[in-house]
Amino acid sequence: MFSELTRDRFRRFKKIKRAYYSLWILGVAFAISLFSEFVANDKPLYLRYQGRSYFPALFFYSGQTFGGRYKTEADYLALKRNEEFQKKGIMIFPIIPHGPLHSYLDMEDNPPHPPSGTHWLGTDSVARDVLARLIYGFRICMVFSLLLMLMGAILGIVIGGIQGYLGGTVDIVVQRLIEIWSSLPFLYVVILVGSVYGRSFILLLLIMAIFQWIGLSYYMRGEFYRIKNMTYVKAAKALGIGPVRIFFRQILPNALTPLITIMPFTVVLGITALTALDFLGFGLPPPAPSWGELLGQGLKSLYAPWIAISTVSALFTTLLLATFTGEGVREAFDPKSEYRIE
Amino acid sequence: MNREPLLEVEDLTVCFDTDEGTVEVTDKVSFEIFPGEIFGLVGESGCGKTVTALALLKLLPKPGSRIISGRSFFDGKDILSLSSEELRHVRGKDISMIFQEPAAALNPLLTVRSQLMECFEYHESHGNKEEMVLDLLHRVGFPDPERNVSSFPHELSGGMLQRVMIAMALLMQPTLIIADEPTTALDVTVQAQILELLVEMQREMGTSILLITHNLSLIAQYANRLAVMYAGRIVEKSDLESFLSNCLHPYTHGLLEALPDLRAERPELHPIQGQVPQPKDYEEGCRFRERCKYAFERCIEKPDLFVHGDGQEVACFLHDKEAQ
Amino acid sequence: MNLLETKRLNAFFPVRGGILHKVTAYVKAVNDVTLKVGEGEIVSIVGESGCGKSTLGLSALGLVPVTSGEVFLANNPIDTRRPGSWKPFRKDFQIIFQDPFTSLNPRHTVYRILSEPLLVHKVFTKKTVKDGIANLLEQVGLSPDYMQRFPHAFSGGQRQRLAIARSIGIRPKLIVCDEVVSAVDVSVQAQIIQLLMDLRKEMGLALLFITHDLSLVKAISDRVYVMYLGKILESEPTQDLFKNPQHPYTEALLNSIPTLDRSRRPQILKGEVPSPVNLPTGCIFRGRCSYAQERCGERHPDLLRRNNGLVACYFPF
Repeated sequence: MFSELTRDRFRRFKKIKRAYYSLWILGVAFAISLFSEFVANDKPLYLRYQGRSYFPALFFYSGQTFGGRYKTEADYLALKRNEEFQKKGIMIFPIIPHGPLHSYLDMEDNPPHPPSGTHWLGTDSVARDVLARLIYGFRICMVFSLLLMLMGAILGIVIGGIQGYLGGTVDIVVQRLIEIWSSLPFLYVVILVGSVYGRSFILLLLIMAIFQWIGLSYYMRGEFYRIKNMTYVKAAKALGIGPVRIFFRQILPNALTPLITIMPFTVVLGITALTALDFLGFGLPPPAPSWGELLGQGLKSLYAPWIAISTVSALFTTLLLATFTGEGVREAFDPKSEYRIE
Repeated sequence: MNREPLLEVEDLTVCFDTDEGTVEVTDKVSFEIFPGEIFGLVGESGCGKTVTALALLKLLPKPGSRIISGRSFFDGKDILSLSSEELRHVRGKDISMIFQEPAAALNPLLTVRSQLMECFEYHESHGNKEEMVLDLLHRVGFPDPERNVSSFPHELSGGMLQRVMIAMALLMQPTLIIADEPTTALDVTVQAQILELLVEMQREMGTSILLITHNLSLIAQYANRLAVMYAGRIVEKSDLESFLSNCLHPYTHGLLEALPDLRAERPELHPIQGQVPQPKDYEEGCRFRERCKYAFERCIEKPDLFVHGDGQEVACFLHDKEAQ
Repeated sequence: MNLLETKRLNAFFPVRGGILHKVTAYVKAVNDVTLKVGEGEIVSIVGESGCGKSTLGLSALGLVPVTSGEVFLANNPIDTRRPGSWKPFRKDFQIIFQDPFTSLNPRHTVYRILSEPLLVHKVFTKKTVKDGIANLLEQVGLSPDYMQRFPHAFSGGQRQRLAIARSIGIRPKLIVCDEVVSAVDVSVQAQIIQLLMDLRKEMGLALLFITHDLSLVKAISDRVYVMYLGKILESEPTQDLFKNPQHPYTEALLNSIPTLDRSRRPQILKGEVPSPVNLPTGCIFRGRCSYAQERCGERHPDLLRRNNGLVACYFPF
C-alpha cells in the first residue's frame, strides 16, 4: 500500500531513536489523555449501591438516585464520606480521584495548596487539582493542534494546489488575495470575534485555521508547480488522462511530502499559540482546563511555585518531544540520504 | 616494450555502505598506464569505472565508501597511502581530472577567469598567470578568450565549458589526465572536436590520458590500449589492434555486436540478453555467466585474468590455456 | 493515408527581459517544419541537441504550445490554439519519453501505472484489466510478478519497457519515440529497439523516432529528416541519406561519428551551434559550412525537392 519510498523513509525514521521514542511517548500520552475521564475524575468509574451498578463517569445520575434530596448531579465525594454508604456500597475511582473543575474548598488551608498525598501536584488558586487540570489540558492542547493542522492542511492543499496547477491569472489573483489576507492582525481578529460571539473552542479553532493555512499553501503551490512539469505528469497527459484525475492521483500524492515534514512543527505551533492566547485571557473561556490559564495563575502566584513549575515542565516536555519527532521526520525525509551508486 | 608504467593500479577494491549493508563495487581492479598513451577504460553504467577513477585520486564520498585494498603507484609512490596534504599536491598538478557534466563541475558563481586563476593559488608556477590562462584557452580552442574569459558558466555552451575544464586540467601541465566520460553530454560534432583536442595534447605535451567511457567507438578511434570492465571487474585488457581484430571476452564481443555498424547497408542490432547485475547481487564466480552463450560448469568459479598472446589478457575460462 | 502531418509548424518560446518582463526575443525551437508520417512507417528526426527535434515531437502532439502552422492527425485538422483539440486522438497517438527515471510516477505501482490508461480508454474493465496487464508485461519481456513493484526497483532499460507497455496497451497507431534509448546503456539500447521493432511488426505501428544517433537511424528507419536550429535541412529515404547526402550539414554529421574503423578518423565540423535566439541571416548553417558562398548570406533557402528527397541548400551535392 505504501510505496517503497515511504517504507524506506519510515525505516530511517525508526533508526533515529530520539525521534522514534518521542513519537511513541507522545502517542501513548495522547491516547491516554483521550480517556482523561477514566484517568482523573472526581466521579467514580464504577459505583455499586443497593445491589445495582452505576457508571457515574459516563452517565449522569441525580442526587436523588442515591437517596439525596436534589435533582442536580450527585455529589460523589459526599457520598463517599457517608457512613451508610461506606458499609453497603462500593465506589471505584480512577487513579487520580480528582476532576479538573472541582474546587476542593473544604480543605484546611487556603488555596493554592502545595503538593501532598491527595493532590500530587497541589491545587491552584481556586483549589482545583493541578494534575487533573494538566491532563485534561493536554488533551485540549493536542486535539486543538491536530484539528488545526488538519483544517489548515486541507485549506492549504486545496488552495495552494489550485494555484500551482492552474497557474497564470488564477495564481496571481489568489496570491494577491492571500497577501492581503495574511496582513490582517491575527490577534485583534481573535479578540474582536471572541468578544462579539463569545469565546469557545470551535471559534478559536476556526479563526486560527483561517490564518494557518497560508503557510502551507505556499509550499503546496511550489510543489504543484514543480511536479506539474515532471515527465510522468506529461506522460499522463499524453495518455489522455483528464486534468482532474491528474491533479488528485498524479500530482497530489507526490506533493504531500513537505506536509509530513511540517506536521510536527504545526502541532508545536498550535500548542504554543493556544497556550499564549489562554495566558493572555483571549483563548478558551473559563473554567476550561488549559495550560495557558494555569501558566497565568502560576505567574500570579509565584509563592505557590508548584503551579508554574509543573505547567512549564509539562509544556516544555511536550514541545520538546514534538520537536524531536519533527526533526526526526525531517531527517528521514531528507532526499540527500537517498543516493544511488553510479 | 620495456617502459616503466606511469600509473600502476593494483588490486583496487572499493566498498560502498548502503542502507542494505556493505556492497563491493570494484573487485581487485588492476591495470597500468604508460607515459604518453591514451588508455581506455570501457564499461556500461554501474560497472565501477567512475568509482575506480575517483578512487585513484581519493575523491570518493566520505562517509559511505571505503577503499578496502589496493595500491596505486604513481611516480614511485602509492597515492592511496599519501596524507591529504601530500595528496593535494598531486591533484591538479601531476594528475588532473575532467568530469562528465561540465556545467556541474564549474562553480556557477565564478567567472572562467576566476576559476582558472584559482588553480594557481594551490600550486606553484612561474610567469605571468593571466597570460598563461589566455594562452591555454587559445590552445584548447576556446572561442575569443579575451572576451569570454569574463563569462559565467551559464552563459557558455556545453562544448565551451568542456574546453574550460580541459584548460583547467592542463594548467599545471600534469602527466596524467583522467577524463571521465568527457563527451557523453555533448553533441557528436563537438565530441569529435574535444577528442581531437585531447589527442593533440597527448602529442604535444606527452600527457597520458585515462579515457573512461561506455562508447567503444571512441576507444577504437582514439585509444592505444584499453581495459573492459563488467560488474566491478576487469574482464579484458588489450592493445587496440589486437582488440579490433580479435576481441576475446564474450561480453566485449556482445558489446561490439550491439553497436549498429554504420558501414553496413542495413545495420543489424544484436542485443545481449539479460541485464547487468546490481552490486548487491554480485556473484563470486564469473558475473557474466547468466548472460553468456558459452558458459559452462567451470564458470561458477572466479576467472583470473589469463594471458592470451602478446598484450592481451582476458578473464574467461574459455581462454585458460593451461586447462586446455 | 498520412497518420501525422504538419505544415509550416512553428513553436516559438518568448524570452523575457527587463524589469517589466517584456518579451525581448523568441527562441524559434520549431521553425517552419513540414513533415509527414504514413501508416506503418518509421520516420526518424535526427539532429544534435538543441535543434528542436524533441520540441517538434511534443508540439505535434500538443504537449507543447504551437505558435502557428497546421497539424493533421489521421487527416483531421487540429485547432492548434486549443490544447483540448488533441484529446480525441490521445488514444491513437502516443509518446514515450527519454528519461526512464522521471517518466513513471514514483508513487504508483506498476499495476497502477499500466492500468490507468487501459481503464480510462476502456480497453479493459476493472475485472479484466489484471489479465490485460499480465499480457502486456510479457509482451515487453517483463514478468507479471512485477505488478506490485514500484518504479525505482527497476533499471533504466526495464523502466523504458514499462513505458512502452503503458503506451502500447491502448493500441495506438503511431508512437513518438523521443530519444527513448539515449539514457540507457548500449547493450540495453539494442534490446529496446528490438522490442519496438517486434511490437511494430505485430501491431502495424508507425514510429516517429527522434534521436541524435545516426547509426540507430540507419538501422531502423524508412525515411529521415535532418534538423538543425529548428529547421529541416534535408529529408530523404534512409538509404539515400547515407549513401548520397545532399546537404553539407548531413555530410558533416555523418563524418563526425566515430566508428570502429580506425582508418576513418572522425572529421571536425568547425564552430558551434549559434544561439537559437539570434539566428544568423541567410542560411542558418552558413557560419559553419565549408562550402558557403555569397548567395548563402541573403536568405535561408527553401526546402525543395531534389533527387529522391528534399534539401534546403543553394549548392547541394
